[in-house]
Order: sequence, then C-alpha cells, then structure tokens
Amino acid sequence: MIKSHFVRLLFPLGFLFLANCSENVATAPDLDLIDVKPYTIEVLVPFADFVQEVNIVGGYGSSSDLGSGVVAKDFNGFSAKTIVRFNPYPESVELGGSTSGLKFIGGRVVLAFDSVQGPTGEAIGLQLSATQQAWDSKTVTWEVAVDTVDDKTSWVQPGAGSSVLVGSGDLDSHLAGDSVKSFASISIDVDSATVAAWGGEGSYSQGMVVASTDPATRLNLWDAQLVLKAIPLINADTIVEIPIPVSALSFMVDPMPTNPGGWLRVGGLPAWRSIITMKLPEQVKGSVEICGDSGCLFDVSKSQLNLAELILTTRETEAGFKPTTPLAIQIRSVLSPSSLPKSPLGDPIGLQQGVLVQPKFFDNEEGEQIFFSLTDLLGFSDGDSPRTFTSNTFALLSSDEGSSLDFASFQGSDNSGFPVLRLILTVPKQGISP
Amino acid sequence: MRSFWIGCILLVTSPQLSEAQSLLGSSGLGMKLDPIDATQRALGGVGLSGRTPTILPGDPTASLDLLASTASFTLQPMWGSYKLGVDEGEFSGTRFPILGMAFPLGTSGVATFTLNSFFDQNSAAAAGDTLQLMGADIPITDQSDLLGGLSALRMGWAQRFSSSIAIGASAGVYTGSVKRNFVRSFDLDSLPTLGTLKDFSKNETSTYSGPLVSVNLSWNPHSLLQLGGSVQWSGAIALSPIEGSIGEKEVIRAPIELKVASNWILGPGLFLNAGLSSSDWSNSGYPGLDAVAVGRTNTYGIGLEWEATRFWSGIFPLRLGFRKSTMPFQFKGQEVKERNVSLGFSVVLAEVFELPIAAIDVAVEAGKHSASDFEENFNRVTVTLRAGNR
Repeated sequence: MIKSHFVRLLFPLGFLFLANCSENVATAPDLDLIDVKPYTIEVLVPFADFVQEVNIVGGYGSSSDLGSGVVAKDFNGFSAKTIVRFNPYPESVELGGSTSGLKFIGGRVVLAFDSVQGPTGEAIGLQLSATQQAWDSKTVTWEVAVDTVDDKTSWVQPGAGSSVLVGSGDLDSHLAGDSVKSFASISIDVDSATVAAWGGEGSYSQGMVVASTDPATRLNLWDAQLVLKAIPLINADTIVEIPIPVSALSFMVDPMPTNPGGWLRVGGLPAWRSIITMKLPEQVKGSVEICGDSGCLFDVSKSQLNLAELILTTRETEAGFKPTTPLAIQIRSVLSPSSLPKSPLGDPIGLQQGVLVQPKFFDNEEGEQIFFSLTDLLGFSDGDSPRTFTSNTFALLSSDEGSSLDFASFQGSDNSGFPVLRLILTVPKQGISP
Repeated sequence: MRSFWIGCILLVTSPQLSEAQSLLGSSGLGMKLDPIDATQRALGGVGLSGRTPTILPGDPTASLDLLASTASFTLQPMWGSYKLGVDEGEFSGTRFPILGMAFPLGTSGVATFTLNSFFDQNSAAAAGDTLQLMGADIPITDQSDLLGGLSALRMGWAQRFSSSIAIGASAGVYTGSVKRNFVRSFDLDSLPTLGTLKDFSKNETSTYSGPLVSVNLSWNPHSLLQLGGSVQWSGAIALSPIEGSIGEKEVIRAPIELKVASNWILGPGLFLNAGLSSSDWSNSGYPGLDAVAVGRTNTYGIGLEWEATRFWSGIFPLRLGFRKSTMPFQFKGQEVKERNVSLGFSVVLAEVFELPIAAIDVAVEAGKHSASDFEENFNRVTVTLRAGNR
C-alpha cells in the first residue's frame, strides 16, 4: 500500500522535472575562456620547394578524334593540311523502281568550313590532291604517314607533299559576311580518273589532301563530301549524283608542337598533359604570430590544411594552337606513376568540370594567375598523426581532351611566374586547462 | 521500484541531460557542483550534519538514522540569465547531482553507495573575426564547446559508537570525462571566387580517474547540539586522453577538503543549521588550474528549520537558508562569488512507526554569481526523492 502510493507519486514528479531538461547553454561572446587558440596562416611555397619532377607528356589521342580538319598556310608560322579518305562507292543505284549498275564519270568535292581566317576581303585558294602512299588516319602527322606498332613510314615529302594535284578553287563564299570566323563552303570538281582512283576498295593509299595555297590563312574544315557523277547503265541519258561521306579524317600540322622546355602545356590534339610530382615540405617559414620577429621554420605536420592551391601563370601559346574558346582544365591524380604515360587517372580534384580559362590569357593577356584546388589531394587533418607527407603525382589535362587542337600554356620553373603552391594552414595551439 | 531506479541511473549517466549551462563551466575544472541534497540546499548547508536522515556523499553518518534500506535521487533544474559586459543571455538545464543507496547494518551501522558530481564542465563560446588571406578580408567564426564533468563514485560506512558519537568513512574513485570541440569556419559566401576553405576542427576527449577517501565525525556534545566534521583526501586525478585524442596523460592533485557543521535545537520544532567548507585548488600541480585557481576558498551557510505542521504522512518541515561561497577558479581573471537564499520543505510520503521511510525534499534557491563585469542571476530547484524498502 505504501509502495503503490509512493510509486504513483514518483512518476508524475519525474515527468514534471524531466520536462525542464531542455538545455540552453550560455554561449560566451568571446574566446577568452577557450584554451584552443589556433593560428591560420597563408604560405606560398615556391616551385623548387614542392615540385619533385615535371613531365610534359604528349600523344594522348589522335588528330582523327577531332572529327574535323584544319587547313592553314603560314598562319603566323603555322601550316596544316587535312587528309580524308572516302567510303567505298556504291555499285548500283535504284532508279525508277529498278536497280542499275553505275559508270562513274567524275565528281566534285564539297568542303564546308566553320572558321575562316585570312586576309580581309580576299578569296582563299584551296588545293585538293590525291595521296600516293598508304597512310593511317590515327597516326598520320606532317612527317609520318603511318606510325603503328609494326609499321612506321614517313611521307616521301613531308605533309603528304608527294600527293598529286587533282583540283583547286577559290573559297570566297565567306566574303559576303564577316571576313573572319564565318561559315563558308566550296565545291571543287575532280575528274573521272581521280574518282576511279579513290574508289579502289581497301586501298590505304586512297586519300585526299586539302591544303591552302594562300599564306596567312587558317580554316577549320568541319565537313567534306565527295559527290560522284554517274550514269546508270539502264539509262545512259541520265546523270545522277551520289554523295560519298568520308570514312576517315585527320589533319597534319607544321610545325609539330615539340615538348616544351621549362614550361607547362595542357590540351591540344594529340593531347598534352603536364604531370607534376610534388611533395609537401615538412617545414615552411612560420609567420610572426607563430615564430615571433626572429622567424623560424614551422612544422607543417602540426597543422590542419584548410586550403591547398596550385597557382599557375598563363603564357602565350604558339600560333595555330592558341585557344579561341574558353579552355577547361582539370587536375587528376596519377594512380600509377610508374605506368606513365599510360597510368590510369583518378577523379577530378576540385571542380569536376575543371577550371575555365579564357583564351585571351594564352594570347596578348598572358601572365594571368590561374588557381587549381589541391585541397582534396593533400587534405590532412589533425587526426592523421603521426603524419608523413608522401609524394603525390597529378596530371593537368584538358577537361574535354580530344575536342580541340588548341592548348593551354603555363609558365614553368624556368620563367618568372613559376608555379606556386598556396597553403592555408591552421595551427592548433593547445591550451593547458583540463 | 527497481525499474524506477534503473531509470534514474540512466538519467545520471546520460551526458545530454547531465549538462550544466553556466558560463562558469568553462574555467578551471568547471563550475563546482556540490554534492548536496535538497534538505541541505534549503538550509544553506555544506552537506554535513543534517537532522534529516538522508544519503550524503562523503558523510555516511547522515544515513545512520535511516530505518530501512533506502535509495535517493536528486535532480536539480536551474535557469537564469547572465550579463558579460554588454552581452546578455539566458541559460537553463537540469543536473543530477546525487544518486545514493544506504543499507542499515543493525541499529548502529550503515553502508552507503553514492554517485555524485563535483564539477560541471559545460560551456560554449563563439566569436567572429576577420583574417587577411588570399588578399582578402575573410570573415571567420570560432566556435568552441566543452562538455563533461568530474564525478565521484564512493562506498561508505558509518558506525555509531555511543549515543553521542558516530564515525564514518568512505572511499571511492573519481570518474567522468570532458570533451572539447573547436571549429574555425571560414565564411566565403561573399567571396565566391576564392573557392572553399575547409574548416579547422579539433576534438579531444579525456577521462578522469583517481582515488578519494573521506572520514567524518558526528558528535552530540549536548542534547540540543550536534556537531559534525569531515576531511576529504584525494589522490592524484589522472586526466587521460581517450584513444584517438592527442595529448599526454596529465595529473591533477586535488586538495584536501574540510567541512564543519552544526545543528542546534533552538526550541520545540525549531532548529538552526550552520556549516563551513574549505579547500584550496591553487597547488594542483597542473599549470592550467594553478593559473586560474583563486587559492583557499570557503563556503559557508546558515539556515533555520521549522517543523510547522503535519502534512500527508508526517511532519512538514519548512526551511530557510542563506549560503555564500567563492568559486575555486577565476572567471576571466576575476574571483567569482556566489550568494543565494533558499526555501524548502519536505513531504513525508510514508511512515512506519511514526518514522519516515519515503519522502520528497524540495529546495528553491535564488542566487547570483558575480565577478567584475560578469553577473549571473539564477534560480535553482533541488528535489530529492528518498524511498525506503522494508
């Protein structure tokens, strides 16, 4: 009886007081009471103190990956030719409900350009020539016609110079509009012998080279088509035109970009990557806050990383390869540095889409600083103790690798504006209260 | 009944509910939280020589008059407001300062088991600032939270040697932990071109451990007067980082704590209670504590108890008290004083042979903490539930 009365009382009382259990902790308006008083410092680590090795590696992908061509002649020293191979010709055609064999009597090549740069108000002379030796669209360059595992054959004359002229014409359709960067097309006739030569099935020497004859010109060739003229055998009075799309398209540039010395290159086609192996310094110069006026070396391992940024300075890109549209550049970890240049890469570090750099910074406004986050690559926190800093190898590459002939250029160790690593570190200064 | 006490234990050991809330929790070992039940709170007592048979940590003689095995549970809601310079705020929370059990051994002895708090370390601070980084002024916020406390788990024994003298002793261990969390965040919302700065954070948790022993004496030199005294000795309190936390094991030398108290029968149903306790934390051997320790600090209190009438199952005592103390640790370089007045009563819930075996004791205090430009006004309710089992 006594117990039941008591227990009946206790529970409502318990509820009454627990209802007041909500905590409202007073928050002091300053940190005088707190023992942890961290310092946050910014350190700029020069190139020599954090970079162990730099490799500029080219050859990723092929010019044929672009899907369009480049034609130029002495455009600020840059020349380029586009080389195409056409699909096999059809053997027959449907005509009036009947199938008829064909007799090819000639044709024309239709070229479409989406960017034309040249002397203002002047037509641009174009030449078509037929290749005379086998070439490989994946490996063809100005110097080399084939560069495969078991075959490396140079052009008899660089730039497929031994090709035979089969047609020419003046491109002037762009003159009606803006003289620069406007759409233009041209149709150039080719004779029946040329058509017959290009129709040889399985011939690796089949090919057409498109070149400019006028200096200071540069054109982007976005489409090429061979339009065959044929007479159906069942109706010799009729001429039909049969479009033949290209089966392979690539381009050759001169001069070929050589491996840069002392500076960084990213992008292009075949693409370039700048591979940097870095190691965080164990110690950096401490600030006055940490070291006092006399200065000291500050132990990085005692800090937490708030930010790590690679700061690159742009430089003017070589003529013919200057970006004309913004270039997105990303950083990825090299997962197996010993396997370079074929090492797999990790996910992008920092912005997934990469850092977008305006083309002017690779032209007349060179010298712009571009910031790439490395925080996630180097991220370390207080709980990682004891901490040792291992080497990290990462690649700078175009976010849209293989989509542009243009590449980015950054200053390297040999120039002013060399790469700098910015670190923002917070140093926990532990107090002594329990 | 068993399930009720299991629930009580869970409440005491629940860190969220055991939080204190005053800004004073940030200094030294935190805010002193005396292991005093509601009867002593109401009388301004120091936890010694009460008339009411109860369970007091460090004073097993207080349990000698319990008729039956008894469990007690004290809870303490507290709320108030503070002013620190131009800043003001409010706080509230509930603490559970004592959990105890007593087992009479015959008619002249008693064994006790208690778990009580000593210091509450619970505070928060936030401050904004600006740092010059990356060529810009970047706003930052530093947020610090401290959560934990120092408690004691003890086993005691008391023996009455004559009608006027009883001696008690208790031994136990310090326990508890403190968790520190600090975050510095960077506000780059207004500077989107600067990217993202990761927060700096630091988390550390340490546990307390160490022995403590106390002896106490209860002496009735006169039929109207009861005197009591106790000495509490503590061994080194080890402050050990738990796994994953950085730091070395540290040792804190806790001081000897002295208490004296008296209870005088002024007249029929009217009693005067007075007490004094003293300790000195300035020689702990731990630089962080010594730097903020005030030196010898005293707590004294005085109170009246009047057995006004009978209510429910027994006597209904009313209590009135005053208490003044100095906190052992400075707050922002200043001594902190506490003054409070208290009112209280007890309701006897069950009696056997006119002796109480279950009761609720209630104390209501209104007080103030003050130190230079810091002032904290608080209200504190202390409720002790006592239940015997025949």
